[in-house]
Amino acid sequence: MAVATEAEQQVIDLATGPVRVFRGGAGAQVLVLHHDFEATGWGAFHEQLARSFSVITSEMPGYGESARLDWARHPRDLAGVLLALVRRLGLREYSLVGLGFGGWVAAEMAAFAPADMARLVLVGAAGIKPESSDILDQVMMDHREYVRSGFAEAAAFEALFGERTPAEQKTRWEAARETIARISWKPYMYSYELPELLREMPVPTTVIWGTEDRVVPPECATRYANLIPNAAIRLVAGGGHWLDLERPAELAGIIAASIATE
Amino acid sequence: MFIGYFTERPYQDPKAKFFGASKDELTDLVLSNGEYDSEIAADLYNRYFDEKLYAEEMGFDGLMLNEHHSTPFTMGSVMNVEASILARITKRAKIVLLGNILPVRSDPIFLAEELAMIDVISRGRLISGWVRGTGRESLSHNAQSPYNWERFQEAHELIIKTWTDPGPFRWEGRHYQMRYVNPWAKPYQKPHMPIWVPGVLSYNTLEWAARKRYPYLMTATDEEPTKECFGIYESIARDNGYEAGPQNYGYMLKLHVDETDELAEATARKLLQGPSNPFLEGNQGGVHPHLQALPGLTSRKNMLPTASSRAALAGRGISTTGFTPGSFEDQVAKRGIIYGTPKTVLKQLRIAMEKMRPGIVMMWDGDGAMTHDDAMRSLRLMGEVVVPTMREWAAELELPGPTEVDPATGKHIGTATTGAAAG
Repeated sequence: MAVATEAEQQVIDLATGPVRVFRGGAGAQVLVLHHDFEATGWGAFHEQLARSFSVITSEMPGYGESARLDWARHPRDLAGVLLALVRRLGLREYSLVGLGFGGWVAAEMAAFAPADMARLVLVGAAGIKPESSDILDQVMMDHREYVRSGFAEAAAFEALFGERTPAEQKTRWEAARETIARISWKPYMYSYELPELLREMPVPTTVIWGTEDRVVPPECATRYANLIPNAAIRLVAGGGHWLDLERPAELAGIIAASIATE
Repeated sequence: MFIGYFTERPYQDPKAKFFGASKDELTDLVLSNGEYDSEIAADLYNRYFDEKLYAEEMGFDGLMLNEHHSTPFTMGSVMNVEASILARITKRAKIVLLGNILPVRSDPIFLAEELAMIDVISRGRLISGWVRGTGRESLSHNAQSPYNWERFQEAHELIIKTWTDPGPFRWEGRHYQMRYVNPWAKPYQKPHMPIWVPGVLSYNTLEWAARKRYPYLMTATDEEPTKECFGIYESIARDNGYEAGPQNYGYMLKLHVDETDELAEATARKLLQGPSNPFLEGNQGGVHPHLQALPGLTSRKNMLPTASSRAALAGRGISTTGFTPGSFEDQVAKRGIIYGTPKTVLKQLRIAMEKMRPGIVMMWDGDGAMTHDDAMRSLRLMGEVVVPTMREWAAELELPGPTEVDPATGKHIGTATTGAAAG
């Protein structure tokens, strides 16, 4: 996907390797972590959110221009590096928004370093095992099918990604798939430890879920909300997994409202 | 020359829709094992052992086994079980495993123990090969695909140490950690059994084999790129301080010998009519690319010359023979499959031997939809005529196998342990 030119790009050279960030807007600080299938850069969702906040979206290591951590074996390892990024950027009282897989990484960050965090927003977050179903396994699928599965409406997928996948996109998707295979092979997309760590996680949390999410089952919203001491659920009727791509304005509005309640 | 016999041991169910005359192509990893009939399987396992016994009687030097998982094209999903039985029921032939799938084993010590036991029970007749496996193997045992190559190398190192160093020792590796390595089973052969490596496409694996001085066997690849691959091995060997020779090179070809050329052709065609097998040209069936090549499993930028000939050419519909790529006729024209009476096949085998100069030849037969009788007729004629003639030619053409000339040093090994010599 194209990266909007309005945002400022910056590469932060951490000791673990370079991490690319995009920033835009002004106001309270909001850090956004992307999904697993690709680092989608700065899009309509970020633009919308940047009307109310100073928005930073960081590529996670192993995505886009940000070096893969060959030593990393778990999303918690990415969380550690992203917390280093938070310190390097000097974020204070920031809100952390995690989308899908990025939601898992965000929850790990909150569990270990809640002090500077004003609010946690989890959108269709992976990280917790559903009780009555499974998280969709991208390893067993063609990647295009996987990306399509995250949309509630097939037309929305085609509008964004076209009828054919260009070779360079396939290469990026393959690299993203390898990153996931390196850090979340098994258990796939969940941790048995994270739920226990969240029981004492003090950051006020908003759990947002599309009711038609076919990637991470909506039942996980309840699990997150039951575990985190101060959490509220906001369901998006008819929404899929990539709410930021399919319903960017609506998602940004829900997030803005929940941060504003602080 | 070392001459071996191989079949994939396919699951043959004449009633199954993917089998035989129906010629329905099977897409890999879509078939439910709900279709598995253990009566059929019991007959087949025992049949394949009977054929291996007969191959030994007919003078083959080696009985080769391989391993694949969750698929009907190879019933030997735990090849070491079959090898254990061969260790007890055969007397002379080498048991050639090409190979155990190192990266899918979560505990390489188990593997070291199994192989040491097979070597001891057989009194030193095991040849142990290693492979990395394809997607179906990693999926079937949920082995993390991006670490396949690292795990391959570390497991190999750990197993060699387990076989050769006195225990107990402790292993703290990147992928394997072991508190107490001291299995009460060590190889019969010293310092350990010979190691061979089969391959098709991966440059890394060939380079690794050449550096380790392990014979490298190319499985049913086209002749010209196979020759090029042997050339690559040779130059890597030279860079590593030794001269490779025929004893370092193996070649597997599809061969069927029969009483008349007509019967041979009809039977050879059956080889391409069993359950689809992505490694069996002409009956590869379908594969899901995302499962065959799991994320990070192999380096796609590091392929051997064989990669551009095989499925790639067929996929683009490019013919090198004038026939449909991969068709029976195409394979006959490029010697991908050789069939006929002993006299007919020997002409073709002589050309292949002169052209590629391998020290190991594996005959791939008795596969697909072939019956037990088909396999036994061929084995008899191979044993009576083909194998002895090939041995004479191998001596004339100076094509020693790795049991005659040490692939690591190029030096002659005492007495040749060929079937002719021992028989």
